[in-house]
Amino acid sequence: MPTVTTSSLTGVQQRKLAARMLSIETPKLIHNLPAMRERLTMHSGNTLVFRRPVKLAPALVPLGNSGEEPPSSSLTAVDIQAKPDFYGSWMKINEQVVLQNDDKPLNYATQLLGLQLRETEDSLTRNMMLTTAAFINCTGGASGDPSTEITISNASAVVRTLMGSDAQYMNDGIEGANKFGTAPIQNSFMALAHTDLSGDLEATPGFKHVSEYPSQTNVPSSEWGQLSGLRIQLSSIGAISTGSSNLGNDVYDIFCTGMEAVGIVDQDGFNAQLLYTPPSIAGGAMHQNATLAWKTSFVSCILNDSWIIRLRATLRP
Amino acid sequence: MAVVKTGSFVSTGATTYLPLPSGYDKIETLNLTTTTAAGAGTGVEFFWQEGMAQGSAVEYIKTAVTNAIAPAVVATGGFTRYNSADNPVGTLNTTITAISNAAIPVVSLTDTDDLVAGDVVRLINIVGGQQLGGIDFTIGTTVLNTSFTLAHMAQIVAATTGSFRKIKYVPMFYPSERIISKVATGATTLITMTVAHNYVVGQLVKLVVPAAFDMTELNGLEGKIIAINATDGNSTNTITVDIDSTAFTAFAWPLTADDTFTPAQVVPAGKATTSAEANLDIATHNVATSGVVLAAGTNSPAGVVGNVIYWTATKSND
Repeated sequence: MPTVTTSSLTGVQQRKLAARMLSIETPKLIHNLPAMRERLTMHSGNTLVFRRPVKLAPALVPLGNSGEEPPSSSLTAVDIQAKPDFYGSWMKINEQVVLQNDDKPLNYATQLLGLQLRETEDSLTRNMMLTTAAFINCTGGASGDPSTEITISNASAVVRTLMGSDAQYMNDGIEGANKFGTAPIQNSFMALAHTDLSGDLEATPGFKHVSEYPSQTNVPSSEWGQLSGLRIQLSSIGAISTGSSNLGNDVYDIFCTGMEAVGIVDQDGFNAQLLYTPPSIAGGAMHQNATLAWKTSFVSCILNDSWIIRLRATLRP
Repeated sequence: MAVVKTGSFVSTGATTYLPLPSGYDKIETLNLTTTTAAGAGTGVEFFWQEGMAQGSAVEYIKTAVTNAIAPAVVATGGFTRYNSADNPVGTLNTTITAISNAAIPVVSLTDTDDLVAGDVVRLINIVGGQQLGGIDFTIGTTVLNTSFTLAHMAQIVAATTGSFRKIKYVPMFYPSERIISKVATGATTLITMTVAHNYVVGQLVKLVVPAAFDMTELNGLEGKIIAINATDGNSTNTITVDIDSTAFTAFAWPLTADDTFTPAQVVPAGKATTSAEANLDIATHNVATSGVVLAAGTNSPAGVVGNVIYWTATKSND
């Protein structure tokens, strides 16, 4: 009489889905961190205007004793316009998938769409900054490319330029504490970069890893450390321009921002929405298919070109 | 339910782009002109379906004597998906042999790929012209597999071998920054850029001019655009800003040995409220688009000048 072994069982009998779904690769969403959010109210057109008054020059000449009035100052301002666009994505799921699959497809479909929505928003701001911000090539490194690897002199030059433009810091300093291996952190601007730069940053003299901060309070999980006056956030979807340096190497754009350098416009009455339409509504005559979707309205823009610098670097050879 | 889009256009003899935001699985074109005209070897109908290679098509060609239609599969000159939100950097072409010292520099090479006038290329590792490396240029006159010009670039010392990558799409967001190629001084300042600009009169721009370009007086200044597309003698890809640069040091490109520098840039900076152009629409917005590119020519779906083309694109519901 034949013995029943695992080899004689069918595939279905031999497979069991693990109770816990594996994690989805979820990037750190860093590009909207420094942005100032404003709302475009309903019924107010399709463009929001940010207005920045132009500061007045100091009046250095004394009035004297003649009683004459000095020249008057005039009021001027600069307008920055931003026009939101609408974005969305969706999927159609047959009712039999929901009925028969044991992996709860609606659950992870919802999770995936939510991640897609937020990654879309993050990538839009990244691409906007990539397109519109002024840049400085890293120089002084050893890579031999016109955009060399990042050095502390590059970071210092960025900080100096932002300070010279009266940009405001994004992060307050962290006071020193009596803890081994830590040191106080100065007031800093925020830098947003790709995770590929983590090694180069650690190898840069003057770089302070986040673990050396005297306090981890209010430090985002994306933060890698501080170089000069820049606190650096890293993400796997940071900006990268493939094969674009003079020597054909990848170029990494590090967005260095002060406060209020970037703005985001939300459309009033149209927040990001996750939409589930059951088969009884979306499924046609036979009520067979459900739909899951997201849609949102979004635009980000640079509010002050003097308060953001795109530092371009290649990797250390 | 399947999505079907239809339309027609009169061919300009140039590659034609059809925006199809819903995507497509199948596209067909009918060249109404060649359908009814006598002539051999001309394409009448073209067909592409998901699964076929990008750039290919099934072409239905009119035969010489009988006017019958014969099908043929063409690997190039057909339909190509287009999504300007994709990575814009094309493949490396290493066939540059020289760049001239003409007033409009001429790039000699042995393989121009599919470049046409108006395309943008990024030059890479140009021997004797390292200062051009990593910078984008709109090209002008193009001679197949022989040369193209750097339409808006200043004169350089002649260079030799190097590479380039085609930049396939315009920047995703308007308004975008540009690299400065030339500056003419005066009571107002004429600025030429390496890539075709899309600025408008009334817009404010901030100018970034590193020390390597000598004209440091211009660095950091903001100016209002008072005219666009005036000629600099060789190019009309210019803006005129209301900055008096009469006494400024001349603008000069670094040479090949001075290749570690930051290029000079024009950066859009909004609009002055005192501007006369009250309703100027310069809002930051996304210009990305997706659709299909129809190649042009006797045996391609976009046809030749004057051809009337009807098209149908279909997206299945699966």
